Amino acid sequence: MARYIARRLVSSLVVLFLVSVFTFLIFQVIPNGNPALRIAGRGASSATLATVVKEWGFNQPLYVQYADMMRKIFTGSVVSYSGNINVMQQLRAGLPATISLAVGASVIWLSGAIVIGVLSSRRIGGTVDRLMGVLASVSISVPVYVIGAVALYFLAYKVAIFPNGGYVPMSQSFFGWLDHMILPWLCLSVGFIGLYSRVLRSSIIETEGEDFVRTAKAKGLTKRRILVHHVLRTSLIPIISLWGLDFAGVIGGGAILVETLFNLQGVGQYAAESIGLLDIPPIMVIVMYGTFFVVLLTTAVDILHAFAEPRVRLQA
Amino acid sequence: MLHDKVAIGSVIVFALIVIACLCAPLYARFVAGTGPDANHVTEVITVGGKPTDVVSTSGIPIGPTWQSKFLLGADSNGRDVAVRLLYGGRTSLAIGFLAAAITLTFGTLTGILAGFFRGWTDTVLSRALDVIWAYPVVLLGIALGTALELGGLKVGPVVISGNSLFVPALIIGFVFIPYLARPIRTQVLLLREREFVAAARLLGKGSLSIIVSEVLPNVISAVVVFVPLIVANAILLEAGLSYLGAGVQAPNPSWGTMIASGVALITSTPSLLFAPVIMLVATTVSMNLFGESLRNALGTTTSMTGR
Amino acid sequence: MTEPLLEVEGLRVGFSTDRGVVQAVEDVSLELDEGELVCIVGESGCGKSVTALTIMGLTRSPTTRIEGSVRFEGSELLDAPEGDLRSLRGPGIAIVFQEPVTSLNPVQRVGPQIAEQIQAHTTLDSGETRQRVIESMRRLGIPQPEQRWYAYPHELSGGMCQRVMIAMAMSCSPRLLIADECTTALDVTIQAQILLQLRGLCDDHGIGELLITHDLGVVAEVADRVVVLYNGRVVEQGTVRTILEDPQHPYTWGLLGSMPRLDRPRREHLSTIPGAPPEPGTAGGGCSFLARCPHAFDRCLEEPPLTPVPGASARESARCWLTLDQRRRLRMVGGDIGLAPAGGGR
Repeated sequence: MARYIARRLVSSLVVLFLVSVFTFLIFQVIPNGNPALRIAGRGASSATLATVVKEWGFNQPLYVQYADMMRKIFTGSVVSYSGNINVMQQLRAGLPATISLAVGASVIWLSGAIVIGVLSSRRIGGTVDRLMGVLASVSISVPVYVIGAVALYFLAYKVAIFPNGGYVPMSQSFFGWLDHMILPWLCLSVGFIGLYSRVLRSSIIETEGEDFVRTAKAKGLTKRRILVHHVLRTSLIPIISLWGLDFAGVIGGGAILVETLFNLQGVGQYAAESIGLLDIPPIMVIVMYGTFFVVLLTTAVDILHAFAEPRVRLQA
Repeated sequence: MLHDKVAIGSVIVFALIVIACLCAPLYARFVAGTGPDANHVTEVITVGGKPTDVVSTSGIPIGPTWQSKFLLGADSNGRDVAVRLLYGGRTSLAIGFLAAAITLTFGTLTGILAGFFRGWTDTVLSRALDVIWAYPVVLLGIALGTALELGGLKVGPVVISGNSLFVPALIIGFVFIPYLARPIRTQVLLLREREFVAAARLLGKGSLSIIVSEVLPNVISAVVVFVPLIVANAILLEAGLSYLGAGVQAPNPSWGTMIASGVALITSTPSLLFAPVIMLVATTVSMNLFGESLRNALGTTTSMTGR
Repeated sequence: MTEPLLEVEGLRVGFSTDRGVVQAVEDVSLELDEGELVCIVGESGCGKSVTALTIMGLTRSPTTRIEGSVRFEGSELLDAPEGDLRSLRGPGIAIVFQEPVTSLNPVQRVGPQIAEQIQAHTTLDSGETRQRVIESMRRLGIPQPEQRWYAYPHELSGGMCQRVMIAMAMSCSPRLLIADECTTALDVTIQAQILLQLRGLCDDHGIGELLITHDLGVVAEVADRVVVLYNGRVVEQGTVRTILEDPQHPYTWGLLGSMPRLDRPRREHLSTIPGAPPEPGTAGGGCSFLARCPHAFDRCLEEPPLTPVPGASARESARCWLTLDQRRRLRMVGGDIGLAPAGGGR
């Protein structure tokens, strides 16, 4: 077990390193373009340009540039030239909203997916199952920001049940926080519930055909016990892996569309605004942190997975 | 599967949408009488007998007229929504298909090479896939989108300008590669242990020949199942990126950019949002439903997690 | 005379599929007493596993049609409510399957899996349950059961897993143990050990055992009585002596003849039963063995009933139109019991 953890950690460190190099390449080395121009932003004056060239060392060899960039990012000293603000500070300011979104939504989507997945699997091909199948296909086809826009239109504008976007920190008002988060949570969850419930359903169907489930029935166990203790325990395992990846994705700013629509001022929205301004430094930092978080979280989930599924530890 | 009404229905819907978009120039010329970029801000047309401003003085454009001109209304620049919808469809669909083609080609190739040759090839390719996989899809999309936007791409003799439609297609195609490559790799890993591969080797067949004759046919069915999924996701991602401004750039119409402007005007002219949304959703839903029917028919259980 | 432990009468099991109803079991009847070990023999597809699973009620589903009667200790099982069957599984009837490693939950340690069965049927606390489990494991020859409790199925060898399965099956002291090809997946030496243990359970504890197998070697080793199945029907049943020395059905002759023997001079070719076993559910009219029997004659176009063997004990019967004398004459091929090649032997 320890060897598996060690192997996994080493492999994730390699990936992290490669991710940093790749990000570096995207932003500073892409052929045909003056990277200094990109960093400085649109409409930068020649003075700013000169500062950028000096600070970022574009006249230095590549590996020096890389080291510099990494240092800047990790000491939080990257500055956005469009607004002259420290990127890290902005990022940190947006974290509470993004984390609230991620945690709340993932709890909703996980429980929703389990309920629907289990219900669909009880009578395969039955009305519930077919209906859920169609709904699932629809839910993953509609862009999340569309659901959000429509929801806002009907539930916040036409009938003011929910506030029209914005974020209220929990420390300020619990109910205010809740009130503002419900719509974003639901919108983000819809697509995930659709996808996850189908994956779980397939997983359950596959597990129920396994020999050990037949043994469980032959032991005279109740249907409930067989479902929860034997079937679900095994069929939930792939779901948890998926969940780790998506959860990390949301925190890493992947819920950019929902955040922007609901004006949550989270990390994702910060990234979106930077795109609009073609302001590269924030995007660079967010992408770097986002990916680091994804790699770390997926490694953690994989290790947990290995605890739950002992056979995995034997694999390369 | 030919009996599956849902599958047939979705194929028909999808085909209709594609045909409609292909006919965009015809519609523009013969029905609406205007192009997708033609600006009619100051014009006045007759609706129901009354002369109405295309774009009112307070900046609110006209809603659906259900006439040949401005069938679905106009946007804030006075452009014909229906015409833009069809032209935007061409853009979105073209990018979607092109991206899907890129993903399918490179994803399958990578998956097969990594799974078949193992060793160093596998290690290197798998790490590369892990790197792409680590980026949240939208973030990678916008990273590449913004990076390429300013200067375009120049690799050797190939020059693609920042404004070209190839850029979003390339980006989207690239982003989805691991989603296909990983399951394919797992499949190939299993396949190469099978007897018929060992038999082919004993017959003295070279690796390339084995891949083509033994591995490829068995992998095809898994790949085929992914096709509708990838097309649908590519179209969705394009819409998302364009919505954010990291994909197709204005004034090129695409469903994504139209949704962006539609969201802004939702309170005054909801049709601006609903028109592209309905087209987009109809396209992706039909693709996804078709994909689900395809999966049921072929009975594969390969998942997109690739583990 | 005491009531038989298990009575199966006229069992018919059919599965509805896209291609129509597949009749896996056409007509099976058998009896089993306490302390008796009966082997059900047949090739793949003859319906022996389906019979075993149906006795336990494990084939119940909306697409299955089950007819006939299965009585355990006098009570009918086929129409019993699910709750009753559940209480029976473990303390009444228990089953051991063919693939021990996959029949155990891969993400759970083996100790708790055995404990689970005990806890489902008794009210012992966890300490007592653990004691019982360890005892069970020890009795089956599992070394160091206190440590083995913590093992995962994939960490144990096939033979060890099968012992765990048997320990699990025996943990609630069932009166009837069904073993479905439980030694097929094991090496011969382990097979012998397991069979010895199964026979021991029968002799020492007086439980009834129903062993499903395709291997006549197993039959010779442990059986008291044998039931031969072909194409979903019982074609012969009798004591193990009768089956091995005075078999009454051409199919049984074929089975015996196709076993390579160490105690006879080697023949040039391995003898086989010509043709192939029928797909489950393909029943035509007439004797189901007709196509492969070299001794078929015109009467065989009508399906023979299962008739008792004259002059033998009550539970010996065969499904064949040939008379006792004819059988005794026809079954010798080259000095051995076997099936003559098609066209010869008459």
